[in-house]
Amino acid sequence: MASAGLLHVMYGDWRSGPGGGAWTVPLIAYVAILIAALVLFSSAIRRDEAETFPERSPAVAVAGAAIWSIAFFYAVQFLGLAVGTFTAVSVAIFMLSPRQPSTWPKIVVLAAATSLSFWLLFSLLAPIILRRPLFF
Amino acid sequence: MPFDLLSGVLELALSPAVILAVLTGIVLGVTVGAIPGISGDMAMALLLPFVFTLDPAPAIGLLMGVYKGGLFGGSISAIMFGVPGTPGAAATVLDGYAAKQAGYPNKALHTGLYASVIGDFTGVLILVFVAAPLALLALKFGPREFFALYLVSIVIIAAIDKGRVAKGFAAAWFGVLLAMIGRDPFSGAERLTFGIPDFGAGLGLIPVLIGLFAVSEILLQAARTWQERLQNREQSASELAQAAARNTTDRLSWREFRKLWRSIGIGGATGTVIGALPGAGATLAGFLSYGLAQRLSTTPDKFGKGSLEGIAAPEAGNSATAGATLIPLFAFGIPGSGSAALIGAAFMMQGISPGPTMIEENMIIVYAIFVLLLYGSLFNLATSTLLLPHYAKIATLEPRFVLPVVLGLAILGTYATKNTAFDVWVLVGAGLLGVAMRITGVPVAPLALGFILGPGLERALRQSLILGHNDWSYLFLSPTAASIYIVGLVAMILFMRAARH
Repeated sequence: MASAGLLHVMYGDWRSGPGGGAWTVPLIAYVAILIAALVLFSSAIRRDEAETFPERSPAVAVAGAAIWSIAFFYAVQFLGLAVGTFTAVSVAIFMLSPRQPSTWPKIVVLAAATSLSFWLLFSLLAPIILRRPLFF
Repeated sequence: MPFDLLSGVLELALSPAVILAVLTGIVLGVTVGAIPGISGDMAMALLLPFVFTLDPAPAIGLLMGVYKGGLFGGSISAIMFGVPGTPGAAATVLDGYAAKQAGYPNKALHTGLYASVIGDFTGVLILVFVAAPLALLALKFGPREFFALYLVSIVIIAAIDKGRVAKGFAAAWFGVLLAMIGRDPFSGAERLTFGIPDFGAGLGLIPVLIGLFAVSEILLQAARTWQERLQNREQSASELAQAAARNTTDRLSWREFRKLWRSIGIGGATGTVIGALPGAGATLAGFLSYGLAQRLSTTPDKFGKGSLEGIAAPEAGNSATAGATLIPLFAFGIPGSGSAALIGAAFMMQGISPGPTMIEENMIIVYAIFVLLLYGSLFNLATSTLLLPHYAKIATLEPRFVLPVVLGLAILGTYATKNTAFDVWVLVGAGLLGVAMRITGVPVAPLALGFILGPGLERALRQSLILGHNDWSYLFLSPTAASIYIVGLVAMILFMRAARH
C-alpha cells in the first residue's frame, strides 16, 4: 500500500500548492508506513516461529454482524424507525440465542423496549431524517 | 480569579443540568465499565452524536462522568471475575481477583473505589493548576513548535506499546493518511478521493471514532457469542456473576485503609505523570503504579496473593489519568489518549477548538469543567458506595441481549449527526478495520490519534514551509522545537525501557 502510494505521489495528478503541496503529508505517511512494514518484514524473517492468525478466525461471524448492521440501517429507512428496529433487533437476538421456547418472550420484550427507546431517542432528542418508510 | 468570573463559573458548574449530566455519566460509566467487553471509551464514543443536543458544560460533564465512572467500573469486573472490564483495570486483576478468591471481595471492591476516587481527585487538581500555565506557554509557540509537538506525540504514542512499536507506528501514520482524504486545505484540490464524490468532504470524525472504538469490539464480541451458541457454550459472565455475587459481606476497616495511603499516593503520582504524557494511558499507569508500589512496600511478597496495596496502587494510578490526560488537550490541543481524543472531538462539535487559546477564549466554560471534574469525583464516591452491592450483578446481562442494542445505537447515533448514509458506511468500514487490527495485534488507539492529529500536523508543517520558503531545515532551527524533539526522544526511550520491565 505504501509503495503504491509513493508511486501515486510521484506519477499521479497532484496539484501544486503553497507549503510543499497537497502531496507533502501523504508522502511522509507513505514513507513512515513503508519503514514500519520493512521493520516488521525483517523481524518476521529473523523470528524462529511463524506468527499465525488465531485459530477459529471469526471472519465469517464478523462479516455476518457487519451485514446485519447495514441491514438494520436500511430496515429502519424502509420499514420505519420502530418497526425496523423491532425486526432487526429480534433477528439479531434470535441468531445469538439458544433455540429454546423460553427465550422467545425475552426476545419480544427486549426488542419492543429497544424500538420504543430508539423511537423516543431519535424522534425527540436527536431526530433523524428517514425516507418515506412503509410503517412507523 | 475576579469575583464575577468566579460567580459565572460556579453558576454554570452547579446548574441543575450540569449536575444531572455528571451524575448520569458516572452511573452510566460505572455500569458499562463493570460489563466485560463494554468500556468507558465505547460508551463515550456512542454518546458523541448526542453531544450536539447539549450545551458544552453538560456535554463534557456527561462524557467525563462516563470516563471517570468507567475507570472504576472496570475494576468491578476485574475483582469479581478476573476479567478487566476496561483495559485500565488489567493490573487490578493481579491482586483483586486473588482477594475475591481468598474470600474478601467486598473489601477489595471498597479498596478499589476509595483508591480510584483519591487518584482521580489528584489528577484533576494537577490539571487545574497546570493546564492554564502550560497553555500560556503554548501561546508563544509558532507553526514549527506545533509541528514538533504533533510529530513527537505521534511517535511516542506509537512507541509506547512494547512489542508492537512498528505496528503502532504504521497505525498512527495510516490514521494521518486517512485524515488526508478529502480536500487539501491550502489549495482546495481533491486528494485520495478515488473519484468518489462522498469522499470530497473527507471521513467524518464521529463515524471513524465510533467505528474503531465501539463497533469493532461489538462485532468481535458478537462473533464470539455466535460461536459459543453454535458450540452450546453459553457459560458466560452471567453465570460467573451469579456465583460471584453470593459472598459480599466482608468489610474494609479504617485501620486497613490507613495502611494503604502509601500505595494510593504512589498510584496517584504515577498516574498523573503518565496520564499527562501523550500515548501513555491508564493501562500503563496501572501497571507502573503496581510495580512501584510492590517495590516500595514493606510486604512485597503479599502482592499477587490478594494484597489490598496491590489493588489500591493500580486503581489510584489508572484513575489519576482521568484528569491528567486532559492536560495536553487543554494546553496544546493534543489528545493524550483515546479517551482524550473523544473529549476533544466533543469540544470540536461544540465549536470549541482545543488548544492554547481554548482557556482564554472560553474561560467560564473551561473553569466550570474543572469544577465539575472535582465534584464529579465526590459524586463517584457517593453513588458507587451506594450502588456497589448491585454493580456486581450488572454482568448478569447476557451479551446476546446487549450487543444488538448497543450496535443499533451506534448506527443510528452516527446517522443522526449528518443524516447521510455515507457516514454509516464509514462507521461499518472503520469497525471492520478495527476488527482486522485487533485480530492482527495492531493497536487501534494510535490510528485514532493519528487521524485526529493529522490535519493539525499538516497545517503546522505547511505553514512552517511557507514561512521558511520551502526550506525544510527551517523546522529544526527553532530552539524550542529542537528542545521538544530532544525531550520527546528521551521520554520515548524512558517509556520503552519502563514498559519492557
